[in-house]
Amino acid sequence: MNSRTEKTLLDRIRGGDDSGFEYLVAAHSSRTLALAWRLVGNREDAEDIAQDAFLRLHRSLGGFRGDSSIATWLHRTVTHLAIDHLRRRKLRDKIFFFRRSNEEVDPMEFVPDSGASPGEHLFAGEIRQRLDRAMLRLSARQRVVFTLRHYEEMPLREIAALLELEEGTVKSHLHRAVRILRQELQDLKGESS
Amino acid sequence: MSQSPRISSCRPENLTLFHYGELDSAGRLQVEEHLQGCAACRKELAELRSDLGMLPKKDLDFSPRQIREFNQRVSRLRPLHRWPLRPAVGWSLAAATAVLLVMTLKSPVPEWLPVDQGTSPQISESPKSLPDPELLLNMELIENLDLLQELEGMGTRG
Repeated sequence: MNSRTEKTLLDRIRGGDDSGFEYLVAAHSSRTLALAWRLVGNREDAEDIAQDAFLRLHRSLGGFRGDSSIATWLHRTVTHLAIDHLRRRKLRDKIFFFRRSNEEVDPMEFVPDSGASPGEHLFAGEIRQRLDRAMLRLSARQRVVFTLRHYEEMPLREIAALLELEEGTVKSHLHRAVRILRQELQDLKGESS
Repeated sequence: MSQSPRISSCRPENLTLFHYGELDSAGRLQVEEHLQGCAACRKELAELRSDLGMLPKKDLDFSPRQIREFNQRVSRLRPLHRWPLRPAVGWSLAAATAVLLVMTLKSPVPEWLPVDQGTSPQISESPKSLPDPELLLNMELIENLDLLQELEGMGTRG
């Protein structure tokens, strides 16, 4: 959606056109949901976060000055909501010793490669479980930095701006996240070759 | 471990940044030069790339039906108020609020208010007696304990 279309849409919404907001949601929901899912690793939580982001957007539209695009605004809001969510989840797990490692994996989260053999499917499943387990070991920021850089391919400079952190801090988060993920995959390496 | 003449030490963090293309041109050049003379770092970089290559491609796309349901839910949940208030309406409301506030402040103190402030209950608590935000957070978490235990007992996801 280009900025002109977006501005027209915002004017329509501010003028009381309900369909304008629905159009806005339809235009951005797919990407917003996918980002939230990648960040928190759980579909239900991702839907809650994306929903919260859209409702916040709705509340903010009256004063939306257009300094950033709606997509950027949603991206930033979802990222911050995801960090809050991950921190709360980590704290909850610590307080109640409530282990989620085995519950975290949602078999529907990944689309299997249709050309893969059963053995490859099994191996891919094992890697996914390890990845989920490793993700739980990461701090909220490490996880978000890694996801944004590795999966969203967002430059670290932009991630630093998004998270309001020094670029050097973001670099350290990325490196530590990669190191933890590699540790978790260590003993699988022999099997893959 | 052999070393390049310009780089005296191996820095794994730089290899991560090198892999992701996050070094500036000078840093990239330094790492490239270092790699030429350091077999250990060449091996480490190859393993890093292999490990990251093992990670699944997360094709986390919601189905069109799921997205449609989500869109409908958000549209249903959004507040029904209209914004922004038109300036005239906004100013009228502000003026009415100001008049009400002035009238309230100018009205005499009701006689039924307790005179003895020493023994009467305070209307507002002092800031010191407000609950600690961290305590509130922990209380909120504790309130969730029952739910979590119940879910755990049911064998469903938390």
